[in-house]
Amino acid sequence: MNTLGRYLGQAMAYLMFIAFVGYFSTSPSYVHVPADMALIKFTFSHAGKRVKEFDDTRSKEEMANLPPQLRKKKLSRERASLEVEFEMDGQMLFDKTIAPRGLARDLPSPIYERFLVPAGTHHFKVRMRDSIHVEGFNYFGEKTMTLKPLQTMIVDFDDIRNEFVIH
Amino acid sequence: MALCSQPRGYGLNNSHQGNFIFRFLKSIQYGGRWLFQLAEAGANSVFGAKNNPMYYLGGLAFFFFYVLFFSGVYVYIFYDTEVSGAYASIEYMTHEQWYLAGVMRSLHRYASDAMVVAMVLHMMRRFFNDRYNGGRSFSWITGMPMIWMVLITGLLGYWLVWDEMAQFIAVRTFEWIDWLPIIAEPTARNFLSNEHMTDTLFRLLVVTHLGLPLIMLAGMLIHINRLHHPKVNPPRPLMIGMFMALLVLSLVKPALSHAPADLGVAPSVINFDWFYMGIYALMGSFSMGTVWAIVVGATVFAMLLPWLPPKKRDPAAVVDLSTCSGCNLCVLDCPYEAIRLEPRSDGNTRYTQEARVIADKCVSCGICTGSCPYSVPFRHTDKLVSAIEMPHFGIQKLRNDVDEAMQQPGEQKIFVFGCSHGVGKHVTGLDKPDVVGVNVECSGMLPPTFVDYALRQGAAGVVVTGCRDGDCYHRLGNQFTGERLNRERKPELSHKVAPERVRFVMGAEADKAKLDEEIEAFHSALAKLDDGDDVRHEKEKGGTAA
Repeated sequence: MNTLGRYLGQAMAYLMFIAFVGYFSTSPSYVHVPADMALIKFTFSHAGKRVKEFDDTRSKEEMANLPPQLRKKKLSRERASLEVEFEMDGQMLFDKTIAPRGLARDLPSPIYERFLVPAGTHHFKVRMRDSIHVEGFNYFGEKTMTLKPLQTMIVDFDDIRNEFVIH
Repeated sequence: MALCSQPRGYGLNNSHQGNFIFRFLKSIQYGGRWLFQLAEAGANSVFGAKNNPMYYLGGLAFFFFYVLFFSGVYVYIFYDTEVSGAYASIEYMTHEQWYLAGVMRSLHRYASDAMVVAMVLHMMRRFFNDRYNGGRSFSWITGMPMIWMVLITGLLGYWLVWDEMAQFIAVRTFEWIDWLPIIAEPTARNFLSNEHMTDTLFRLLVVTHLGLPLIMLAGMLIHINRLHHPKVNPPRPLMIGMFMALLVLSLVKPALSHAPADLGVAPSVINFDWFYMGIYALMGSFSMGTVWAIVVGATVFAMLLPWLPPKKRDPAAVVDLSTCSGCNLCVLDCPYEAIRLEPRSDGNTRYTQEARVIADKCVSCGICTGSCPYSVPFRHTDKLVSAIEMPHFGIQKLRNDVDEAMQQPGEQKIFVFGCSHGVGKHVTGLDKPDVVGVNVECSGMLPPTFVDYALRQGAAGVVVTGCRDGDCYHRLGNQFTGERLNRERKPELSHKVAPERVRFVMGAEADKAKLDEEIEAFHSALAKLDDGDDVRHEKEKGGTAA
């Protein structure tokens, strides 16, 4: 190949390289959330009530034989799983039992779920039970929201006020 | 055509050829090697072997790293490290100072993309050419963390723009991490609203983006630690060409941001940089657990490749202390730094040092045998031994093979010493009259004295074959062979040998036609040489005496 041909060939090779890099650096586009949808993030982290108050199997007699400073009963660490339901316009979006984290099941139960829903007005209901000592659910939340396209709605749980927050 | 020693294939003992994994990997490698050789032949024709980018993929990754460093320093001067000002500062660079900061930003992006391309091609090429196991496994394994560091650093860089794509990357990355059961509190909750994104977190990201490349640089130096003369700098014309190409791309298609990040609004359409963000497309199609399985599985599989399938390697080179003088030639020539000089251990007072082979680093290429001044076939001993040679393929065997091949009938024989990786693989299939040959692991394994020996045994000419120019399987074998035959490197070809009777042909497995042509042309040239005058190398009848 003559010199001119070699230079042209090199120019073509560089052109193909930058065309490849230039194209795939921005294309093809990726649709994360369709333009007519809204995003719901259903997320909180809440520690269930203790499964039992104490973890001690020692009898009263055994305790009485101990020195006074050792007679304290060991507190139980294990937390109850959370039972959670979340529905939109009467349709169940989420219905799960969330186990607590930790080897001793003594950490909060985390939830992080995403739902894509059509933009518009929707009625949301959320229920949770965090104790094995109650029947049914012991926390409730309810709200009607008008979601704009691409709006992100958050369903959270406020651990201080012990209530669901939908915003 | 006579064949005395079969091509042994990549320096490996092939007793496991019936193994399914072996056959599967070999078939993938064969197909990939064929494609690469096609592309490399095309690049050779326009760039030439000395500037062929395919032969400098690792070096190009280094070069792109340098471009990233200098462009990154400039961009950082104008970058606002507060979350509220980051986006605006980048917009200023892109639109107000487009002629310099904007170009630098674009160079920064495209060099990072080009670095991924170079790294991936570099890795694929190593795999297809079977250059990743044995003594080379160190470079293979130390290269794996580099890939992840480059990807993480690049994604952090995108994050610092704090536009919709940055928001997408931040949220999806932590959603992916949150899948791991060890996380008690979902970390993605840090991105529920704009108020959650603090300057402290943002500055931490900036520091990480600046710090990771420093760790990466250390890793890159470790990656090439076991190589003699590593090709970390591509040839200057190639660097200039690549830089100009990236500059043109930066001017024609400047890097732009998406809309500013707003955690209250979900990003819709993202212009993915697929060199970095392919994993997020997987997250959109599969569960987070599946993506973890793919990522971890692929990484572990790649890390284990040097040991898949279980291979018995050829033994490492051994030193014969009775002849080793500690001359240092093998140390200088070993491409893998697997030989060093140490104080004499045999009580020999004539020499102070001896060669010592580091077996873990040795890939059994035999280049040390080619470099040893004692690799001489013209000796009368019960057993011919070089001062350093391969236990399974010493110079005694090589001399026997040459003798056996020369027993083949023929008048004007051409003797071919074929390397086992390039076009020399076809020494078995040339099927030409008056052509005989043997295979050696690497052309660099051939002591120049054997060229002389073949001619003295009656060959009219000698062809030595190597891999394609610039692409020696054992890195430096081609270079050393060329220099020895040109009498530019010790041990050099004897001055008694007429240069017209020796040819060095470089080519890949796919270049058999080129070898055929070279041999045809060589035959004609030798015939003219013998007809024209009587300068033919004097055949010393009767054997091996010098």
